[in-house]
Amino acid sequence: MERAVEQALIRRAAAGDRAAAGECVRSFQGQLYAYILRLSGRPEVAEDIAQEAFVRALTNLDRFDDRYRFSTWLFTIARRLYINSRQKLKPMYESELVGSIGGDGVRPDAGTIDDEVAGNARDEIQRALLHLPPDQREVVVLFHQFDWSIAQIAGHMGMPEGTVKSHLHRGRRRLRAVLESSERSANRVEEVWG
Amino acid sequence: MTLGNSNLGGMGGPGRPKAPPAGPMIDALLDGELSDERLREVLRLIRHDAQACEDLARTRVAVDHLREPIDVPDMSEAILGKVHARRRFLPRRSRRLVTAGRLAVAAGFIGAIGIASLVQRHVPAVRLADEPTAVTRIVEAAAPNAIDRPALTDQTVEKIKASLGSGSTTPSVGRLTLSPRIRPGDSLHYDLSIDRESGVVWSITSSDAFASIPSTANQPRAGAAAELGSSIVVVGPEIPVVGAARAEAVAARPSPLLSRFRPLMMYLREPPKPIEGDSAGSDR
Repeated sequence: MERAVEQALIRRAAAGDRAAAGECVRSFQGQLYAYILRLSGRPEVAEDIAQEAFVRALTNLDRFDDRYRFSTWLFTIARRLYINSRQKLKPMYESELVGSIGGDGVRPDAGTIDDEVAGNARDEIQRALLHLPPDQREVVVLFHQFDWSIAQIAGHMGMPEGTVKSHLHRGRRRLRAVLESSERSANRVEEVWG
Repeated sequence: MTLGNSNLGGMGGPGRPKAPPAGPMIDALLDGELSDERLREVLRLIRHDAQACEDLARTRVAVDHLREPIDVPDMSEAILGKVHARRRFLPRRSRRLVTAGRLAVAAGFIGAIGIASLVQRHVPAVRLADEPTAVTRIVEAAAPNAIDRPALTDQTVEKIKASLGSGSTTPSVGRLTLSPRIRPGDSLHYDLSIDRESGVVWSITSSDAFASIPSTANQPRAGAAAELGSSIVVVGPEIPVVGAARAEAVAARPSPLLSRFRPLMMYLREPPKPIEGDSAGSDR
């Protein structure tokens, strides 16, 4: 969404236009949901936090500083909510976690083999992400999934750019290492079971 | 195996300068920090390093997976419903009016509690009625009291006049009606205080009762004040009782409002002139 369009939408929503608020939600809900899902690995957490973040943002639109992007503000609210809720999250079995991502990967009538392969890849990347420390995971997701700049990420996470880069590089290496390890395990299983 | 460990140093041969490590170059490449020229140079450098190429490819595939779309539930209706419940979709001006109205109601409520608290503190007799009362009814109810008040005051004044006697500059105890506990011949202290409600009030203490305050035996003024608990205007000398039989003591009933300020009034009041006995007692 272009900056001018976004600002006009926010102004209308702040003036009490329900349709504009709805459009605003539909424009950003995908990004926000994906962001929290990547961080938490749990769809229900992602949905709850995304909803609460939107509600807080829309009820406080008067406080929004339009020098910044709405998505940045939204992500900041969601991040705080997620950090606050992280302490309350229960541990989850990996199989439950992996199966709950994406939807296609667990559906019995998943359709073509390509869909299944794609679904498995998504599960795989999500599982690998969860092996990363939270800061590394967040930096990798923001940089590679949402195309945020190093400076933006540094501002969002409240850390120096050098630290962000360090997290990014380590996170990428670790992500690749986890995926390789997972691939080797799968190959071994195939060898054993033919 | 990490990118940082991959090194291109072996590919140049013994006579050529050592090439930079591939890890940082690949990191810079994936960070998108390289110019086109530098990008081509890096790709040329790692072209013959199979390990570096594999690392780059695997990393690229991994991060590309992150960009694949995710199934997102439509949350718009749920969100708008929650927003509407917390804060209705109103024009900004209307919302400000609503906010101002809420603030005014809250301020009024807090102010009413504060006023009621003040009233209760200073005039405890006042109680809020269970039901609202018309102002006219309050005026009607107060009218008889207002009419009776001068008559009551007159009665009090007459009583005081009668007790003081006529033509005598020194108050005479013999003209007061005294408690039966006080026998003729007893020495008495008498206090004269002024109360807003009761007018002039006499308080009589026998010398025996007065003597029961050991710490103030030599300080009649302070002793009387402690005993009677009221502001002292006059403390008379010991006067022999002429004689009386019937008790009709006027009870000092200080106003709650005045009693709150009494310590302050006592403090502000000019200190009593020292009595010879007092100074002698304090010296001891």
